Amino acid sequence: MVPSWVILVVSLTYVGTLFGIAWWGDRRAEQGRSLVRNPLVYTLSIAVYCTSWTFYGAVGSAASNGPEFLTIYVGPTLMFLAWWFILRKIVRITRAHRITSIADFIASRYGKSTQLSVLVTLVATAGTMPYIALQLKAVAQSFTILAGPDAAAALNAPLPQVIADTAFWVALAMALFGILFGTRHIDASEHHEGVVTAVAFESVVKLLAFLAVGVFVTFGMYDGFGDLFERARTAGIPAETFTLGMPDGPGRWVSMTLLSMCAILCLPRQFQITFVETVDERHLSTAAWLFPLYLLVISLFVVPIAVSGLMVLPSGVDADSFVLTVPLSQGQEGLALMAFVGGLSAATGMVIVATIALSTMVSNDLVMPALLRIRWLRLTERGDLTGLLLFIRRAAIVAVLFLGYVYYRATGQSGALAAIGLTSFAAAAQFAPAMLGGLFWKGATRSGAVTGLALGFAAWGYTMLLPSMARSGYLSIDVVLHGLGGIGWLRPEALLGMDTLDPLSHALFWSWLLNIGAFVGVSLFGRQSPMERVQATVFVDVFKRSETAAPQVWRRSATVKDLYALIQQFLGRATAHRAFRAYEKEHGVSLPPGREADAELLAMTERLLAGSIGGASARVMVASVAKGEMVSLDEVLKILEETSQVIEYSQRLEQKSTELEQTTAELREANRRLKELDRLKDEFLSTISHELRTPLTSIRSFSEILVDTPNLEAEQASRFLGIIVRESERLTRLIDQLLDLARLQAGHGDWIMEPVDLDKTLEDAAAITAGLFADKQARLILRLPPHPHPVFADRDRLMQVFVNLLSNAVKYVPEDGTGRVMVSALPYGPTWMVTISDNGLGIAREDRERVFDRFVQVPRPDGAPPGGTGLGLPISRQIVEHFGGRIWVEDAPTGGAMVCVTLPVTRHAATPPRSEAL
Amino acid sequence: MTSAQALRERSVFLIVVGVVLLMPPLILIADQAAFIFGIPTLYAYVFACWAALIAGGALLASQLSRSEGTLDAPADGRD
Repeated sequence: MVPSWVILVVSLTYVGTLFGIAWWGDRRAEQGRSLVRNPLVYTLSIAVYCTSWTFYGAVGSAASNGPEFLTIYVGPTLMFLAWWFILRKIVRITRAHRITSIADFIASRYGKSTQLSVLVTLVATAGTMPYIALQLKAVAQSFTILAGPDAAAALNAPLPQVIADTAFWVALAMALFGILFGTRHIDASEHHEGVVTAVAFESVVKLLAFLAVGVFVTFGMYDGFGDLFERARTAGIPAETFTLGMPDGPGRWVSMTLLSMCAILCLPRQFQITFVETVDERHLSTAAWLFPLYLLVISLFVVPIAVSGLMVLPSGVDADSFVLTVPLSQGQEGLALMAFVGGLSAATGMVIVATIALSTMVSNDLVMPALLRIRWLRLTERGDLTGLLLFIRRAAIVAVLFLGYVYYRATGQSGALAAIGLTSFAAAAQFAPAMLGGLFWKGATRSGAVTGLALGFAAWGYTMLLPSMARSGYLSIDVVLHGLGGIGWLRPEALLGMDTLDPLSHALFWSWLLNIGAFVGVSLFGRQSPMERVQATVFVDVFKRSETAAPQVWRRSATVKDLYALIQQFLGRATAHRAFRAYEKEHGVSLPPGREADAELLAMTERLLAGSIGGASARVMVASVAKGEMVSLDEVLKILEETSQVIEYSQRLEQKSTELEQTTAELREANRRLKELDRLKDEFLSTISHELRTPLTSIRSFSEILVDTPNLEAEQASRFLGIIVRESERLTRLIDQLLDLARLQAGHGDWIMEPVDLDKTLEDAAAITAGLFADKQARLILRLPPHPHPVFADRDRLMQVFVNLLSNAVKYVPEDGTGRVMVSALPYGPTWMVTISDNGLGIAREDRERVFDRFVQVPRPDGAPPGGTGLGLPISRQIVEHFGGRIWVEDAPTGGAMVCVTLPVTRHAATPPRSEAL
Repeated sequence: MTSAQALRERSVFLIVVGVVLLMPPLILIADQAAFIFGIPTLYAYVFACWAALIAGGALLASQLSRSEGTLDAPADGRD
């Protein structure tokens, strides 16, 4: 045990430090050197999620219920993975509309409904009270355990007098803290930098304290994790302790994960810290993974502490206190004291933030609307209301903590920590349908949200709160066992006789069934008021419009002076002055008091007020000055819809322009190809005129000689006539071939496609060119397989190709009698391949494709012109390709060139030739 | 750089993977009264998946926040 006075001194020092840090944080903020503009501080402040429930309760839960405590951390991890879609959107909306609490958020979404904000506030208060009580209880209990001689006895001791009760003093200190740092001024942005700094500090303290105990247990008392579990096994702790209990385990796992996924968004304190207190949206991207990491680290040692507690402590000791009692049992008083401080920080962090969040809600969404409605108070006509506002906030803080303390005193010793926490989670989870639904579904209506929330809350009360109260002895347990009034199907934990689910899943099922069912059903069959439609669009499409483009609902009816007075009333003179100067500067206008305020100034006033008194109240206040002369909401809707149309048009326009760009690119490409073709045509024409002119020139000159020289010798004359005839023939051939090529390229011509015997065609071609071979003393060798398959072609055209290729080949072989041309045919895939190779000089690699161009001729080995037309190969290629084959040039094995021709066997070239030749 | 659209799709995938891994029926496979490396299987499984999800989330978060600057408001509005 640790002497009471030591604990007191340490606690007081700790709380004093907390005040100091909060003061420092506020001071830095005033100096403009904010501490919270840091993703690390933001993440740590979100870790206010880990309360004393985590600190003490998780160990207790791990000892008695096994791994299910993990769901409380796994749920938020999954939700934070979705930060881009959900958290970021809520932050954006909260900042754009100066949302001050979850009640304000839900109410604003459904047309700034006062009814809804009151309802949410009531549910949140009812759900949070037990949670605050739980923290107070944990602090009081941990104090008793640490100071008492016997941990087991301490639990059963009666509650001390209020004056001697640690929880009372803690509650008092927290109330003071909340008043000092939560309501220092009425801030239009509702940022409490001092509080956030202190809470972040507390998150560090509780993490370090828990890790210290965990490391001591795992590595001090045992030799690491493996050793710990090994000893547990030999100590007789069954391995089933580390599994989900059957049969309820899996069901509870799912339910609790879902609950904690919602809790991280919907618990009033989490909403406050994560969304309202954010100073920079970009911090979310760090918190998205750092916060889950924090959760992982703080839950690492939960099981070791639980297991060691089960081993070293007698069975009567409450598992919820293992964090303290295990170090105590080892004589580690210092460590236990440190753990106590960690527990204290976990509890105070939660109490502070929850109290500020609740008091904001109570003052903005409960008290202010009520006061504004009471006409005889003439509140709207009074002067400075900042004092009143601050008083309401402070009173709310005291009231919330007082209620929490009363709740703790009333429920006393009953209920494990985890059970109370889950009850609170389930209440917060009732906000999820209205909140998430409203975030993504424009059709969600106010009536749907109100009905769903009310029914869900009622179902929660009946299936969850009622049994827990009965078990604490406030109601007869008969209600749980036999149903309300003894009616069996009204049993709270087996409604309509549904006893297949565990109580938690059962409660969650019914409350969500009624909540979501009513929310969706009533929304679908109901109608939205224009204001709801405006807000629905503004919320759901928050990323589609700029931050300040809130719809302007006001007609120009108030004067600048009226608005100035209004802001001054609620926010004080200094803030009003600053806001108006900023407005003047931003818009480049001056605002004389008597001037009519424009719609934008009215909107700004409403936003500013919303930041301090909530959206619903702000609306009432501005309306009181503007004398209710709003632009008709239908007009606003029209503007909104026009805006969406404009956005849509611009998107379509963008699409169009992309299409246009594509078309332009295509056109440019087509133009490029046309230019190229034009160039080719010019080239062709110039080549062809050159080719035609050469024979014509010689015909003309020889004819002129014959004409001009009458007494020419007969021998000479006949030689000249011979040249004229040869050149004319050449000219005719050239023109024939040109026409032929043109026909082929145009796709005209008579083609008689039929099976043609390759063998026979080649032999015929060889016979036709035999004269050429004899002239050159070259040998033609035919290597044909015995039974070649017919190919599918036009016989005459095929013959033309072979004759052409053979006469080409013979042109280039040596003339000294060693010239060889070899023709062979082989099956080649589904085609036949005919190769014609010679032993000439070959064709250079870079010319091999060019020789198929028109008028391209490869010079003969002796440098003399080859004397062809340069059209043979192009024509051959046209013909072969018409047959569906290919033609190309390779190196011949004999050293010269080898022309390869493939010819399909059938029209579709589908059946391969028989492989007998292979 | 990966497009913002692709990053959004990847983060949806990560969420789905997380839910599937950490929910029945998959998690029940690890729910055995047995030990792996001296640690109860369920704890080993959950902590391993958890750490992997955090690592994946961290990777995507940094890319997503970098892509934010390049996103235009209207294109952003679909999520």
